Amino acid sequence: MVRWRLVSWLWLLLTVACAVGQQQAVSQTPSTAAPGVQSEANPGNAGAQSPGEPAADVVEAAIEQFRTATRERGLRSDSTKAFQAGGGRLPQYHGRLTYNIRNDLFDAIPHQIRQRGGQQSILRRHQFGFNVSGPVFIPKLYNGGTRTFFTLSYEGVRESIARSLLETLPIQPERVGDFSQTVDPSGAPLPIYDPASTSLNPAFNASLPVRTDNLQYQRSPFVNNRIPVARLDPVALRTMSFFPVPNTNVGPFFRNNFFVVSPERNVVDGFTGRVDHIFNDRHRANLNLTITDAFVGAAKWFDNAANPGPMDRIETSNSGSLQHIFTISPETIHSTTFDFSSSGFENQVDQETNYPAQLGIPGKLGSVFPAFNILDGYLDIGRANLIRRNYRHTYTLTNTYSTRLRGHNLRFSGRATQFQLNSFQPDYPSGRFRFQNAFTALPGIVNTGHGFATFLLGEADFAELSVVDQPSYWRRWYFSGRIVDQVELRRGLNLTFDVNLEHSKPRVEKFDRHSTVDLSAPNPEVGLPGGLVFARQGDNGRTFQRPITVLEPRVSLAWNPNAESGSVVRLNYARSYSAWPLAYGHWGSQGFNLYPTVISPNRLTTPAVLLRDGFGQSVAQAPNLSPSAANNTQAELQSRTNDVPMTVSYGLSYEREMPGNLLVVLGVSRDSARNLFVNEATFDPNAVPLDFLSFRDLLNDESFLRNLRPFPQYQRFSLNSMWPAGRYNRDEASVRVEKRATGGLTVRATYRFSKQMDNYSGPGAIQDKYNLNKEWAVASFNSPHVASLNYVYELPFGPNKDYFTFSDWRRYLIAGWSFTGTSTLVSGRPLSMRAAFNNTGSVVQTLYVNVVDGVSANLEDRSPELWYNPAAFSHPDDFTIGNAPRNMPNLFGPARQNHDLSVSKRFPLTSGQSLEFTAVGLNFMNIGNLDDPDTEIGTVRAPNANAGRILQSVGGRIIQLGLRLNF
Amino acid sequence: MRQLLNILIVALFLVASTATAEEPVPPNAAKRKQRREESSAPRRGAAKGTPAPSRLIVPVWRPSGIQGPWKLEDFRAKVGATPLTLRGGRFDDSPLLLFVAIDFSADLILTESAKDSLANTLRGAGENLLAGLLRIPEQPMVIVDPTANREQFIEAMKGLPMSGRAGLFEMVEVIAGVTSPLVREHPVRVAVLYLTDSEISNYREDYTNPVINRSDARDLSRRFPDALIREKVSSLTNTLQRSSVPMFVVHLNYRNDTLNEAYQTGLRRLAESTGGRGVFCRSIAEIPVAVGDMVNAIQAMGMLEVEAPGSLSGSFTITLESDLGSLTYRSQFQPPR
Repeated sequence: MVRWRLVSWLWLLLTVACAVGQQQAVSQTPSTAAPGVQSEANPGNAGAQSPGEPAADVVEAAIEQFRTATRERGLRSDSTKAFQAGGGRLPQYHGRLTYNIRNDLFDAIPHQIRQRGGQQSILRRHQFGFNVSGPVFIPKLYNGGTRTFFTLSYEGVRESIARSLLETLPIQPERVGDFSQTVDPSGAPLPIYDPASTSLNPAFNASLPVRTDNLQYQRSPFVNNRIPVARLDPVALRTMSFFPVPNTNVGPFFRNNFFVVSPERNVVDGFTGRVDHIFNDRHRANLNLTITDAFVGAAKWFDNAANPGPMDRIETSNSGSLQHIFTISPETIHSTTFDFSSSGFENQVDQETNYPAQLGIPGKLGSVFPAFNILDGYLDIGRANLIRRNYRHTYTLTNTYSTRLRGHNLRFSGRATQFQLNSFQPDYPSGRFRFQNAFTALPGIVNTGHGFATFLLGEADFAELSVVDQPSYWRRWYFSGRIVDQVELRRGLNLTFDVNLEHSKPRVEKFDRHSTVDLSAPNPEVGLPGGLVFARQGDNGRTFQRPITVLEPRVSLAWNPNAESGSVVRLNYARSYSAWPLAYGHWGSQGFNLYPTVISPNRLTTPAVLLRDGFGQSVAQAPNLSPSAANNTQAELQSRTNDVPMTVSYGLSYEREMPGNLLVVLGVSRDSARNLFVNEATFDPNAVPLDFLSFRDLLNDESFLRNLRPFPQYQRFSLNSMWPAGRYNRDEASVRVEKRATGGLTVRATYRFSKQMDNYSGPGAIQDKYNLNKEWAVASFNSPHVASLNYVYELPFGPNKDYFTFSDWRRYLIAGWSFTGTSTLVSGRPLSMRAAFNNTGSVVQTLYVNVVDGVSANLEDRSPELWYNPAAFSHPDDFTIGNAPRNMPNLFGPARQNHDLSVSKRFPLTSGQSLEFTAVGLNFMNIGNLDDPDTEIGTVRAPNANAGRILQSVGGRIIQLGLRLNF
Repeated sequence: MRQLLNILIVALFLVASTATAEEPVPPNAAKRKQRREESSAPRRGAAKGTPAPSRLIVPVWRPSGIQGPWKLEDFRAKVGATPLTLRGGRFDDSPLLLFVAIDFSADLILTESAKDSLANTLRGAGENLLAGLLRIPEQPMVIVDPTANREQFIEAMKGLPMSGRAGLFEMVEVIAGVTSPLVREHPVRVAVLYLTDSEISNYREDYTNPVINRSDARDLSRRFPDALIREKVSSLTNTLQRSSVPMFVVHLNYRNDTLNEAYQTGLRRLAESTGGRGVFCRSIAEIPVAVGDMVNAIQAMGMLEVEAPGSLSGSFTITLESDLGSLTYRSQFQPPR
């Protein structure tokens, strides 16, 4: 704040000084000065050649006048005064003042709000700023002239914008344990069972699947589907005071019953400045700086500490660069650039109140609100990462040498970059407790029990805690050397060859608080391979990943079959690699930070923890540098191979200039990538092979299941989206037609057809983590057809135009109108069909569906009420997987379209000043784009009533009005 | 709020200080003022109180295929239905002062190709062409005064270093200001040829309106980011409408991003507003053809001196006709002040 004010006042003083100096100087300027080139008019008869005047004399007279004029303007080496733009003795400044306003009064009510009966979506936005540029001029001290030039911009935003959310909360009776009105997805009553009544079924036949007539465990339903008040967990009851009650009933049944429209408040201020200085003909330098501060007041889903939505946070972003350019000769240039950037954010969270104590959870926990996940479609209570302080700094030094040698244009460059990331974000300092239906279900029978009933009983099947006491300071270096050669091989055929040698060092932690699971290291606690190893211990260095050295070639050919024809054929090839990323958080520091985890020994019968007992009093103390410190947790595993993501791209295009300022471009391209970084949703070396699904209900026993894992001491592996196992292909054909400025109209139309395939995209995890080839399918984000139209039309009205060339007052109304617009049509994305229930003993993370042979999923008369035919799919049986592809190649969601338009009117004020009014309309046709349909398929007995149904359309016209004074 | 007030005060001072800055001062301002005063005096035969007629310079090209000497009698000019008097003509045998303005900032291979192409073209150009060399945005701008010594020009051009910054937008008015009087006051043809590889983000002044606040996700002010470029082009077009020297642009490096498309379209519009032309090369092979065609077009250009009634105000359209066929010429003018 202080810095801000100081800058403002310093600038004010400087400007006042400039203005005063200018006024004084202007008064000394000869009054004979005439304005601009306008004054060139009316030369009388001066243009007429005198009879008999020799041409040489005429030319010499003209040249002499040119010499005189340019000398007077300071444009020659023998000028006695310095050049000033505008011709005066003082510098001229250019720039603009801007103000933009948005208000929901101008907008249409968004479709998703209107469909819920909403009448308003609050929006108040003010955006203002200025830009000024010109020579640096300090009266009586320094006149930058054309040597020192600055640009300074400021922009501020004050905004309040409504955010909407439609979710499901427990209905009023459920909050006190009454589930008599609770129904399953098909609307049938949902029975809730009493976990305290669980007993082994003596009649159970282990050779047959668990069914209602062959139960492994017996369990009694609660009387009248009501949990007695005395059985409700006291912590759960206290937590209910933080859980809002439903406020709408979109349905079906009691689902989608909580609709929030909450304002997000944003305050942003940013400056950017640049100074260019020319020392002499050969040396120049420029300095850039950008400073931004922002406060993001997030929209609140709950207005209390249990809010599972986004957090208030402070963001900063600063960057700058200093560049020196040395022109060694007309054909040789050397430049050195130093860049830095620094950005980060901090959550604003209440750490004064001890919420676990307030809720009555015993144990040594953090003070922030704990997280409760209810796995039956209900909104969570609390959230992860309440505390976040993350700052990223990047420093880069670049040296470039460009020269021309025997027809080759060569550029050599070297770059060194250091990335720094300081991160403090414990996931769950007060714990995370997960509740699913199993403990209140009839054991082994889907579509019974409810996660919220389990929550009320306080029986978590999984609980974890983050013991993180200090930030992690991640560092990484990157070096590269690059050579670019451009050469004309023969007339009309040009080659650009570009090769980049890149050396990327893996990340290290500043204080060596760095670890990974080594799959071959001994784990003494269990006597199995797979233990934690730590940086700088034993034979270990500071890091566990390998430095990567790669060569990135890039070749492009441009061929003009005939230069006069206006045709160009371009051919491109490129191979590129990605380096190890630096991600926020503490991943890779297990042992220095601990994540004690409690898992249910039997996910049908025995809870991991009871809420009222919490984690107990013996909470782990960090650090624990034992190889077994990560046992029973989701252990952090770093890839130690040389594989990093590699992309190979090919492209071929043909451009042709046509009559009438038309340009047509046809192109085809292919991008092929492998070793893309994926997370544990795609690849998990500790997954249970799908063959073991044959063990069926035995898989519900944690000790049995654990022994089926390759590394039984761990739950799963956490890969932090850094395991190189992803593949991706993109094939594209496109056509682009451009019509340039004819009668004020410029149009660009593009159509693109693409097919994108991969082995990782889509909701949830992939089904078979041991067979990634089988997961090769169309990408979930692939929209095959994309068409866009961009246009600028300056109306041909007014002076200098074709129509209504009024020169009187009417020109102020008629002239200066222009329309700019863009329209986009995007075809639908492939639908990802998923099973509503997952009774696989947690072997399969996300379950696909089965395709029913002979039944088409596509409907001829599809509508938002029924977009596809749910009968084309069936729910897999218990302990089996679905046979449908990850994303359906021939079943697509709704297409989307958007049309934006800007109308502007320019009012010239003086020769150098103008005022411009702009109205920007986003989605100006107020089209609501349909969401994708519900793709969950239920069982025959519990079908998903929403399957195939589109719940809402989204979007609405947004208008922004703006004024800009250009000077 | 206090901060906002500070900003507004600063900004207003800036506007105020700019508004008080001088308007461009043309060369020989005092001398021309005297001439203007003389020329604005009632002429013999002019009705009392009627504004004096003004002389306009109209660049014109004959229909292709027409050979032989130009004759003033071949042309007729009018504004609407009102015939205009043709006071004189400078045709392809008249002296031609060609000012070549170099605006090279980025790409050595393209600029070297352009230099070679221009050198080859000038070596074969007519003897009545005198070439002068300007560089922008550097100072001093004048490197070589118009000269018939082609080798002197070529040697100076070859020795020009890269500027590192684009400058065409910033200097186009200045160059129009110092060249327009030449064609008005001397019986010579004058043209300015800009060779540039500039891109819009390489200007010292900011025409790209870059994002300042990366946190501001709902910024619509940059939804159509070419607004500032179009504003600058509109402003320059209004000024150049009063220039008498046609401007020709050969852009060496066609770019197809939104901002540079608006920039390149703007350059073409600027050139056309002065009666000139703009071409854009999409590969190095097109550069020699573009440069050669442009210099040939300049050499083939004629200039007619047209007397326009002093009563004309605002912008007006001149129609030029000829029995020779369809002419290419500058039609839009603003009356001299």
